[in-house]
Amino acid sequence: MTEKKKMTFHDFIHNDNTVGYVFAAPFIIGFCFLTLIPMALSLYYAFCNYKIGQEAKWVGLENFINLFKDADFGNSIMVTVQYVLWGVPLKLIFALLIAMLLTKPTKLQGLYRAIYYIPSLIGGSVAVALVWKQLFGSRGPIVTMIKSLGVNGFNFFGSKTWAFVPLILCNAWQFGSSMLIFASGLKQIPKDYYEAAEIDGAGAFKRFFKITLPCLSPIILFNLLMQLISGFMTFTQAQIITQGGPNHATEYVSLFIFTEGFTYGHMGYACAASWVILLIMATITGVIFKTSKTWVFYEADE
Amino acid sequence: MKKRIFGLGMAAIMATTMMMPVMAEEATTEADVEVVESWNNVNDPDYEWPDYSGETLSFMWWGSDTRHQKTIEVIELYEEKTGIDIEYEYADGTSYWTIFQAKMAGDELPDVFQMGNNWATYYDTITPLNDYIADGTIDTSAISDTMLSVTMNQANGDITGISNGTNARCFAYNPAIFEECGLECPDENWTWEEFATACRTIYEQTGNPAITTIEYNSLVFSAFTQWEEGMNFYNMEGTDFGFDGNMEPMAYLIDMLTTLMKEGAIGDYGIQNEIGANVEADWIAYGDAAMIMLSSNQFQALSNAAAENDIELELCPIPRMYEDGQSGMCVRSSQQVSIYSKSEKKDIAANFVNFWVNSVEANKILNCERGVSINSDVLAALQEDSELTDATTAKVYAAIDLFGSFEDAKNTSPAEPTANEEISDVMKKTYIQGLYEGNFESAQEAADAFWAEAQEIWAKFEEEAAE
Repeated sequence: MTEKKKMTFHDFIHNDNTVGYVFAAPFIIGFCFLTLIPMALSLYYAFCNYKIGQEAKWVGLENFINLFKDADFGNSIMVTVQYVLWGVPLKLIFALLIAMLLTKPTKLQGLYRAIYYIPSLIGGSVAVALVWKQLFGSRGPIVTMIKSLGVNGFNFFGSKTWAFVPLILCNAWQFGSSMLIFASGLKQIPKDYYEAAEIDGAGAFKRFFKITLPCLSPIILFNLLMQLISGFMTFTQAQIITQGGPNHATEYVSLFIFTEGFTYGHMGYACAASWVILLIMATITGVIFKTSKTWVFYEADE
Repeated sequence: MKKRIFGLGMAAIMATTMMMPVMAEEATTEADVEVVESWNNVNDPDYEWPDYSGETLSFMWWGSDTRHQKTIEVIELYEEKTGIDIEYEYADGTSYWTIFQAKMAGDELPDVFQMGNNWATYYDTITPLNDYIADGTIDTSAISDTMLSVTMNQANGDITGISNGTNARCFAYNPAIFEECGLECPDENWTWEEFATACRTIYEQTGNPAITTIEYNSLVFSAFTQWEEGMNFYNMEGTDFGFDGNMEPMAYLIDMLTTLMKEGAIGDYGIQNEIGANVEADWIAYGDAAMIMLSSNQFQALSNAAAENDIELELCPIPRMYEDGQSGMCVRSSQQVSIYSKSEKKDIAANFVNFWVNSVEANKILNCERGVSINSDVLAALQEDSELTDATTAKVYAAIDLFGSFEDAKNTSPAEPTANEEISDVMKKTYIQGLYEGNFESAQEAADAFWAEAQEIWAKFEEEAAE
């Protein structure tokens, strides 16, 4: 014990904690400077009237009060919720479907997985958004096809009702990462369950709903949360493809925050909006966690 | 600090006046000329280039690829002449302002930067150039007072930058389609009624919208000018609105445009959004649309794209309310070069700006891609050179000449108020597009609702500025 008090430099350097911290240092430094400090600043600015390049002036709750009166902010939350409600289930269903198809062992399994994963890797990029813009654009192949069916003047991005469809499809198309997680989850399900069920005369549907889904439910929960969060943060597609239009139809919250902060110069207001969104997302995540006890099945519980 | 060496002033002025007889008039009417002892005339054959070896200067601009190439060429030319090292950075028009704001927040803006007509928003970052003009560092002997004042803060006389050229928002059209549909081509005082008829006829005959790119907010501003003499959306100083709340002009215009859009005679907001700022992608370049609204300095790029499909285009003014009424056109600085207020090398920066604006050699490379040069010597030299001034460029020069001859083209608000960005964005997204989506009973209702919100936004910015 007495030795420990007189720790030499040699001991300090070879201490497990020190080694741990040194190796974690890049992350810790990055986290502090790129996440923690900006977050703290944005919390402060949320209570200020702040324009880039100028002094921030404390205004108390004014930004938040204005937010609740702002019809555009309300609208942006509504369209984001709509986007998430359509986009996330669609993406998860798609990912699960492909994952199940890919569990059938073939020699090309690895290749298939890699191919389906590619859209996820490049999914958030500007280039893909531009491709989708062309694909669904007024001169693109899909509209041309609709035109050849005799519908003239139809255009996805010109209509408030249809503009969000290409965005949701673009999101669903990037199902790769959820698919891989599902695939590994499917492998964990013991074969005997299926064999036993088959002997008892359960059909494919029954096996899926009674075995696959319950056994996969922890993974579904994980994927659901991840996709919800990324759904709420959708920015690139909306900014590149529709720029929030027409008439605010695809002005998702992140785009709203960007426009207020960088285009109009109300940085304080934008910070306040992002904190409101954080609270909303935290609430939704919390609710899902609470209810998850009723539908997520953990083998360890029994 | 290094001593700057100016060109031989008097000889230079004589040389320029001999080249351009017009200059003689201006030189006598301009009071500043007496004060200036020697102009920094880069076009003087005996010009002694300052030696800036070892020095660095930074420069940032936005634009298209063509512009980047040309600008870099000019930078290299200046580096070669003075031995300076210029660090440059460029971006496209949209991300430029994000980068600009980030640099502004970190006090790291470049010494010289391109600035738009939104300079009021970034006023603190700009060095007034009055002193450099007064002592001749920036040679304005071939730039008229009118052209200098386009970048001037009307409130205090500060010159916020030197214009990179003038342009005007106008229309381009495809005469072949007009002829095919049995329509007369737009003349210099065509009206909105004629425009609507043309759109409907072209749509009926070709099945395509007659026009897909329209700057709605800019047209609404013009509508106020056109409605009645002396009326403007913003006043000349950019300090307030320039009308009394009578929204009829806006209601008339957006009612007409929305009806046309619903009929299919003009392209919907989706098509317009797809094309974005990229005029080369407009339907007119493929021969599908007959008209486009654009800035005159984009005409060259558009014409090149259209030429690939054997389409020849012409320029015309925006339509008027009344045939004999106001044009609602505005010939103004397309953009400017400004010097950073916190730059430590303002003298070198001023010398570079002088070279940038006045050097014939440099501007032969730039060739008015940013707008018609405000330096009459430079413009004359470019026009003389048939290689630089082809048929398309000549059309732009002729159009700017024509628009400049409209009496009211000089009177539309030159400076954009700080609140303008949000006001015009909200006008377009919430009210004009909202009318199309059926959120309002009538165009008048949408216009009145817009006016109420515009005043609120204005008050918000006033309040912020007062704090």
